[in-house]
Amino acid sequence: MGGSGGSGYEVDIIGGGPGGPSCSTLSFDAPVASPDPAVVAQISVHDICDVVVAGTPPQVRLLVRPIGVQLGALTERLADLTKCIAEGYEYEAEVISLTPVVRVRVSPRRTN
Amino acid sequence: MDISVVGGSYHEVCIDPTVHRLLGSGLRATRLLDALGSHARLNTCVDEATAPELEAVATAFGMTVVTTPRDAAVRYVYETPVHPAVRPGSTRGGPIQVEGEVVVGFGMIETAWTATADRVVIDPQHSDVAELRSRVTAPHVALVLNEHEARRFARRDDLRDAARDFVELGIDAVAIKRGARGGLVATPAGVNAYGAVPTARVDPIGSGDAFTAGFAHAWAVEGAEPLDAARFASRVAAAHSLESAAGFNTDVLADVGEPIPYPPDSTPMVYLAGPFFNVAQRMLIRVARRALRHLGVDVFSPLHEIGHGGDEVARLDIAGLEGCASVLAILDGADSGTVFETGWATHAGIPVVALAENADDHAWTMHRGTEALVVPDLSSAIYNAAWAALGRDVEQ
Repeated sequence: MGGSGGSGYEVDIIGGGPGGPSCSTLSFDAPVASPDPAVVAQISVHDICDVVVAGTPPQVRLLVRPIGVQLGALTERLADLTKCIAEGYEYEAEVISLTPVVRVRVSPRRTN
Repeated sequence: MDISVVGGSYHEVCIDPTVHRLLGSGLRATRLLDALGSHARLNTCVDEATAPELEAVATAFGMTVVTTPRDAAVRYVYETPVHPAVRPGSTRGGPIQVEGEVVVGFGMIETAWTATADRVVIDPQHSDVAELRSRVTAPHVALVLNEHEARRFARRDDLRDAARDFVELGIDAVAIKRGARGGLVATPAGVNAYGAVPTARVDPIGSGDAFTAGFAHAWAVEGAEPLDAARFASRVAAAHSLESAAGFNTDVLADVGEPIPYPPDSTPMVYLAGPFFNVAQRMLIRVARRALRHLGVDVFSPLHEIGHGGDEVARLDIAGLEGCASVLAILDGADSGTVFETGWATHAGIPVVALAENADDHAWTMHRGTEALVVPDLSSAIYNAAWAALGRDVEQ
C-alpha cells in the first residue's frame, strides 16, 4: 500500500525551518518513561535532573542532580533533544510531579 | 499473557500545543498493554532514519519490537488535536505475518499483515474492514472502529445496521466508538451501548488506539464480555487522555471514573460564544464549530447563525442561547459580549465551559466561582462542552 501525497503544508505549519524549533529555547513538559521506583521514593518536586544522551541504543536519560542516579528516560521530543544535545546544547529537567505520574519540565540548562 | 501487536510506528506532530514524538497505533498500544500487565510484542515497519529513535523508545519502555523495513518515515501532523491529521509523502513496507494466542492488529498505511491466533482484535484505522478480516485466521475476532469508519466501510448511515453487517462478516464483537458520546457494542446476540468517561483534560490524539488496547486487554486477555470490555476501554482511553502513553500507569487508570450513561441519539445544541472581530478570532470559531459538530452535537454559532450587526443582534443571540444545552466560551481577550453570554447562561442554568490560555487568571474568578469549567486548551474545552450538552440531554 502507498500513502497519500502531500505538499509543503507540513513544513509551513511547523515553522522553524527544516531544523525544527530553536535548540536555545527548546522547553516542554513531559512524563518520565519507566521511572525507577527506588529513585522516585528519594526525590521531591523541584529536584533537578541532567538530561543526557547515553546507553545503547542511545536514549535520552534523566540523571538526578547531584548524585547522578537515573530517574528514567524521555520519549517526547526525542528527535529534537538528541539533535540539540549533539550540537552542544545542554538541558535540565525539573521534577514537577511525582504521582500519579512522574513529570518533568525540560529547559535549556542555566549557566549560573 | 503474551500478546502480539501489529501496527504502525509513526511520528506524531502537533503544532499547538507542541507535540513531537514517535508513537503511532502499534507502538502506543504495545506500551499500554505492557502497562496493563501483559507482555506485548510489537510487529511494525521502520525506515532507516526512524530506526534509532524506535530502538530508543522501545528500550525506554522496556518493550520488544520486531521490525520489517519500509522505505520512508511516516509523520502525522495536526495543527491542533481537534484538526484532522495531514500525512505528507508516501511509503511502502514489507508484509508482516504474526501468530500467537492473542493478536491486536491495526491497519497500516505502508503494508498489509496477516494474523493467526486464538483471539484477534482488529482496529482498521483507514484500511478496509472486509479485507483485513479476510487476512485473519482465528476462532474469535473482535473489531474496534469509530463511527465515521463504520459508516464508510458498511456504507450505511445507521450505526446499528452497520454493526450487524460487521457481525455477519464472522466477527464476534464489534465496538463502534462515538467520541464524546461513548459507543455501541454489537454481538450476534444484539446491540448495546456504553457511555464515555469524561475527563477535565482531553487529548484526543491516540485515544482511539488506547481504547483498542483497553478493549483487547479486557476481552482477549481477561475474557470479559464485549460490553464490559468497551467500558474498561473507555477508562483506558480516559487515562491515556490525561497522561499520554508515556505517563500511563495503573494508578492513573484507578483514578478515572466509570462511564457516564449513553446519551440518547439526539443532537443537543452547544452555544459557541466568542469574539469574531478579526481573522484569527473567526478562524478559531470555525475550528471549534467544526470540532463540536464532528463530535455529534449541533452548534449555535452567532457568527454563522446571526452574523455581524448592531444592537439588534443581541436579542437574536440570546434567543439562540436559550435553546442550547451548554456553552463553549472563548474567553481570551475578555470580549464583553462573550462574558455577558456566559453570565446569562449561568443564571439560566446552562453549563458553561470556557477556553482561556491562562485558566487560573484572576480575570475568570466569576466563571470559576459559579461552576464554569475554565480550561487552557482547545480540545479539553470542546470535549467538555460536548459532554455538558450530552449530559444535560440525558437528564431531560
